[in-house]
Amino acid sequence: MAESLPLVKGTLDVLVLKALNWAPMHGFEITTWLEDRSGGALDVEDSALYQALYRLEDRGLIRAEWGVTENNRKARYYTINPAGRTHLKAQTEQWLEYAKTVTGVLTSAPKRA
Amino acid sequence: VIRPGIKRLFTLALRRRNAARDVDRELATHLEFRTEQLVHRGWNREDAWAEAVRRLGALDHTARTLGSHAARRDRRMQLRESIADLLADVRHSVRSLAREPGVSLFAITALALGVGANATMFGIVDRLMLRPPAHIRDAHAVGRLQITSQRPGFNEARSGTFGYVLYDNIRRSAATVSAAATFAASEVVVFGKGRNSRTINGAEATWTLFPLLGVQPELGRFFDAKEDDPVSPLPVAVLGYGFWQSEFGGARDVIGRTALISGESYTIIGVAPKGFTGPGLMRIDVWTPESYGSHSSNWTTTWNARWLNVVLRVKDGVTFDQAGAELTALYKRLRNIPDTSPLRLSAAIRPVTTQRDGTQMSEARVSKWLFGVSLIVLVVASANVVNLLLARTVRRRREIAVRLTLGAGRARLIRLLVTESMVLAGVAGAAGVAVAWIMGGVTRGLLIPNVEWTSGVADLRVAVISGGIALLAGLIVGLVPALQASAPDLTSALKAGVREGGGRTQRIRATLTIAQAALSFALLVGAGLFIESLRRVQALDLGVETNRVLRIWVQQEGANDESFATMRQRQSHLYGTALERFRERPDVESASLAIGLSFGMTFGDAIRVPGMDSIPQLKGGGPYMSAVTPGFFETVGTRIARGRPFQSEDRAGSAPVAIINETMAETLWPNENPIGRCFYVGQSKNCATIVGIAVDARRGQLREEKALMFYIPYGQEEGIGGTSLVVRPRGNARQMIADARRMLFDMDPSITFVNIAAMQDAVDAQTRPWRLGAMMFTLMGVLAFVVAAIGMYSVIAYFVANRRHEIGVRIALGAQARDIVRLIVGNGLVLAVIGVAAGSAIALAAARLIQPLLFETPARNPAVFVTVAVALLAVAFVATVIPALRARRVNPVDAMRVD
Repeated sequence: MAESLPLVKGTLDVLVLKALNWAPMHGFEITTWLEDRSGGALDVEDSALYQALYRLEDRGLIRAEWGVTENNRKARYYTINPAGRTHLKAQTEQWLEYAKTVTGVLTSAPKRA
Repeated sequence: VIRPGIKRLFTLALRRRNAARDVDRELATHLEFRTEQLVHRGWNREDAWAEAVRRLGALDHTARTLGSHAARRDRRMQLRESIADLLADVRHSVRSLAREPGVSLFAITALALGVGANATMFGIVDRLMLRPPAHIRDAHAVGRLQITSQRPGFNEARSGTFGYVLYDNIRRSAATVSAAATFAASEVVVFGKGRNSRTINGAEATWTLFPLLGVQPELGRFFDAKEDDPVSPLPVAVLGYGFWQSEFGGARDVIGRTALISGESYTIIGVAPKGFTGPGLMRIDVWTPESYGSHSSNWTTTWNARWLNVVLRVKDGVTFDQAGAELTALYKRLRNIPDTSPLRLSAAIRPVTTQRDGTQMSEARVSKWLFGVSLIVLVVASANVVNLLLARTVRRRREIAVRLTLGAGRARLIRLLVTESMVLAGVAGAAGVAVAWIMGGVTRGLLIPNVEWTSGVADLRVAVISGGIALLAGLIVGLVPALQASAPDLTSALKAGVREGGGRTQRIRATLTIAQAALSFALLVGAGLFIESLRRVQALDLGVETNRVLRIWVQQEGANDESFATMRQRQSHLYGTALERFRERPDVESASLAIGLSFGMTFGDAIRVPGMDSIPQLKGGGPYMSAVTPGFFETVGTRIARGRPFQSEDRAGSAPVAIINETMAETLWPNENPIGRCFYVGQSKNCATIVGIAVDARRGQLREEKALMFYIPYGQEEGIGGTSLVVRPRGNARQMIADARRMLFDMDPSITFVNIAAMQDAVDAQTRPWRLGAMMFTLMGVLAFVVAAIGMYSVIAYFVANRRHEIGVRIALGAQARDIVRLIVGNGLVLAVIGVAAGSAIALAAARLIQPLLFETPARNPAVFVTVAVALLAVAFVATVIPALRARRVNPVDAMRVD
């Protein structure tokens, strides 16, 4: 996976929230979810993911509870909070706006004055 | 739907977690998942593990960062959760208290009154006994000198006032004392002049007092050694803070102004700090140098004049006892009393708050008792609230049992119930402060008016104490029913009906009822004893009718160069004119002049009786003398037992005559008629013939030893002076004061000051401790009694409700209504009778302790005991008969259909 994309700073939190907005997941599930969704293009450091999770929990955007996986193994499940949803929505809009703008700038043909 | 509160009860056990362990476990799980995923993709297990670890980065570091994150979050969560829990509990409590408003209101009221009574009494005891007067540095080292002496065959005599000479000697030579000062306060210092003049509280002190106490002035300075020099003192004054505020509007430029005090112009040099009362507790409006006071020429050296309180500060490390021993030796040396003398004499240093004879103020002693009494009231109130809550928890046993079955922990349940009682207590505590505020104001104003209360009636200390008391009471009253209700065997309550399983609770409730009855009985006996004391004090035959008489002093402007004789003459003329004016008034029954007056100034003089070698010394001292005008005896209401009163012929220059009191008659001429006999007064050459015998009149105390006393005609006296005008108005004596004052100022423009007081004032001040005791004991006794009566009612009512089924069966089986009532009332009265018995035991045990506070009333007064017992049993009867009558109407069919 040498060709994987480095993560743009600050986007991991939004991605994690996006994942959890889908369904409550444990940490490893999130990494696989992100890998699957990006077709393996996003390189998420496992340690960075956990730091993001704890940070989000700290800010009250998500909460964690011990639960049981399908294979009957104990894992810590994260669920998105209403505050997290709001945050996700705002961040997503901001990101799309940003991406559009940047894309616009980068793809515009040079003009003569 | 399970309410969130209930749901939380179940998750409670899971909440306890270890943040660090959680992190470890989560990361371990992650490693396993990752390894499995890689193995699944074809890695070998070892490499897969290594890769998983690598991806987690520096594992230790990650774990630690995450761990501290998690721990911080957890602490916050826990705090938030416990606050949320508490709020939920409080909300729940408020709801369940509101569900039974009657019970809650009664419980709150009872507790509030109990707490309020406590706070009030604490505030008073705190000021009178616990705290030294304000602004005294290291007050434990400051004391007041007292000398106790006992002659063989006589009662012990305590003296707390001394001459300047003793102070001076102690200051110069006592090694154990670091500073000495004198202090003499008076409530009748004249301020101002003429119609605007009035009396204020003044204190004369030596300049050493202020550095001794360590007080700093609010403004300006205190007077110094030069201004208080015995040879050339200066008229300077320091104002009391309150007086400065009220009289001078707190003006800061008051320094240097002059004030007219006792007819003299004083320069104001300073203002004392707020609340400063010197070594006493009385409000002081103005401080002046002792040396500037009006004294005889030999005042610094004479041992015969004693009017000064001597205040001492002992050196570091010296005890009051050590200093007392040194002062005893010093005093004996100064007075040339050999160790072999039969006179037993000792000097001691007493705490500053004690009064002149070395005992605590009687108000303080009574207050101490009342503080204990208020605690009892609180106990009764708390017992009652416990009772009510017990009944309530029994009613709620199903709810409680359900909670227990649903898995709520016992501790959780206890917490819930205790929260309820704490909410109750919190409200009661707040209400209690309000009660204290009202009660404190009344008590202070009416019953202990002389003390400068430096703090508000409900200051921080009082509020903190009431809060503490309330919460403690809340904890106790909540814990008892909670422990009861959550006892494990109570789950059986689910199966059993409400009426079963109450045996233990019922016993506790019965015991509490008995305790309440016993304590209120004891309190009411106390109230009865004080009321009886007060009745006896008020019924006391003082020999003078103090409640009918006004005592008047008049001062007038004098010329500076006037001789003593002309001044006396002018004064006597003034008083003579005033006397005539009063006698002319239709609203005056009679009026008279007197030098030497009961509850005023008394004079003593030696007498000689022809044919007797010596005059026996009575314990009351004396002989005392008064010089009075005709009409005196009918004015003050002293009865002439034999012979005649003075007539207009008995005056200056006429044949010397005298009227003696009964004690003098019985002591000097037992078994014979003294009328017609004669005795010599002082240095007089003429023998005064006895013309009448008057009944004994009090000199100035309600309790005093008998003493020889005689009266001579006004004008025949020698060497005594200081006239009082006594007036006996027809109606209420006090109502005439303002009018009399106006009349005197109109009569003579040279009058500078008029002081009119009801003779009764001096008596009232002395009866105050009994009034304080009677009022407060009654108030608290009735309070406890009402609370106990309601408690008894509730127990019986509950008993009836609980046994409706049984009563129904009895009625169905043919029991008469009378039998039912008898059964229930009998049950209640048994409790009351046991209570009365226990209460009698308490009252009898406490009798010895309370005896010194009573006035000629035996503490084991059977009449009081019987009266209170009858009253208590009567109320108990009423309290039980009401629910009993209700029981009579139980419909047996309904009763048995329930449950």
